[in-house]
Amino acid sequence: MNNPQYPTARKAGLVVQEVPDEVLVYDLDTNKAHCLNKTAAAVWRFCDGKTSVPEIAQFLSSESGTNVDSDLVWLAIDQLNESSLLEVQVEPKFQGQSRREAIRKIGIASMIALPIVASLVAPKSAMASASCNCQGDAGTNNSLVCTTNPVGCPPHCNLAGICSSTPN
Amino acid sequence: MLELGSNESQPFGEFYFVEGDHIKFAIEVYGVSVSVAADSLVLSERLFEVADRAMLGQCRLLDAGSAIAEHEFVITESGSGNYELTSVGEYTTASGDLRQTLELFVRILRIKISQFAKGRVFVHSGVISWGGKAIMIPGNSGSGKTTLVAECVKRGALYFSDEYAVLAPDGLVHPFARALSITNGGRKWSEDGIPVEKLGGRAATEPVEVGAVVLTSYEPGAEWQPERLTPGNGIIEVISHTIPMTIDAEFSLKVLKSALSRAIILRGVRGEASDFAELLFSFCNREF
Repeated sequence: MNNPQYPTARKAGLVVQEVPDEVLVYDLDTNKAHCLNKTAAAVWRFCDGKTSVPEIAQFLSSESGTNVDSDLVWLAIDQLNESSLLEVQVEPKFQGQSRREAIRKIGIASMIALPIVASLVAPKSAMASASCNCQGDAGTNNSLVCTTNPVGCPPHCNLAGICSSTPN
Repeated sequence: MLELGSNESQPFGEFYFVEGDHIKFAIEVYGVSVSVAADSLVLSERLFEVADRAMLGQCRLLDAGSAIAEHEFVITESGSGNYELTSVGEYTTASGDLRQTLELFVRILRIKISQFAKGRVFVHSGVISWGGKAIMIPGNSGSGKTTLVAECVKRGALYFSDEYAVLAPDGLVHPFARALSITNGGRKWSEDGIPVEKLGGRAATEPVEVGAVVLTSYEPGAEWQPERLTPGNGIIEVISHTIPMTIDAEFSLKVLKSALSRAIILRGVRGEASDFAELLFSFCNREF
């Protein structure tokens, strides 16, 4: 792990789709979906391995017509790093309390939106989100069977007659 | 693999063929080819019938000859009135009597079609339309989407589906208007659902654009105070309900963008479905 001043955006194994003011990134390796807001997306775009963090801040300043501090860029870099969207892992500049403090300070001073990378994991198997139903002939739920269990639904039927990871 | 061709003008009897101990037939639905082998003609006919009904009459019989089936099922009687279902290359399960086996068969078939459909992206979601635009209600089993869809259609919304939003590359959502899978006394029999007409509703026949996506779950006594999500944040929420996402992420994401980037996306907990339906319609009347 190093702390490069020249971060490089990861390209391999990602599906990228732009929507107005945001960029969606789907990581094929982890099945994680990320949504980069405009600022995070701009920083990611400048991460070409040749542009330093202060230079990225300068580019953002001229793009937005307002002064952008290097710390704001680092906030984005830290999140991109955590989301595995950089080629090489970097040591986070802000963590925990330090990050909250940085967000507060930069938020007050910055005229542009703070960078945000929101992430969600897609189900490993699509079946996990598909309908699976309990069925059986007897009158008690104990005899019910989650019928799509072989393709990834939870193994049990709970007392409500819904497939569940636990019997009750 | 089975060689297949197509011809849709002939009856079932023209399409089955014998292979070893099995009677086989093949179908195509949403561009996915599936072969089914059974150990009797009667069972084969029954399997085709339930498959076609489960896929809302969209199964096209294929004849032996020119293409390759992507998925294969074998269903055989294993004695004492029990049947064994095999999804070739995946797993075998002995699921008991004929009815249970047929239910399991159509559910696995439907899951396969929803995963591998060509030119469509299946999202696990209830769908209705109001004011000419679709309202998608994504959710997992047990999240209450069927209940909510039923309340909406009772109040005049057009019924699209209680199970799938079928999205096309042009961004439109197509109907998948199966009988509603209403939970009754803790038991759900999806293949014996309630036709929307019995609820006093009507099923859609034409695709429409998506006007809103409602990410919600039931919480007793909850007040609907939704958060409006940006398109990007809304789409990543829907990704977790998008069935072919892990199979064809590029196409799925492109279609989700096309369908949802102009939609209103709301997230929040809701109270009773009947109250919520009214709130939802008032909102849509203002925003659509």
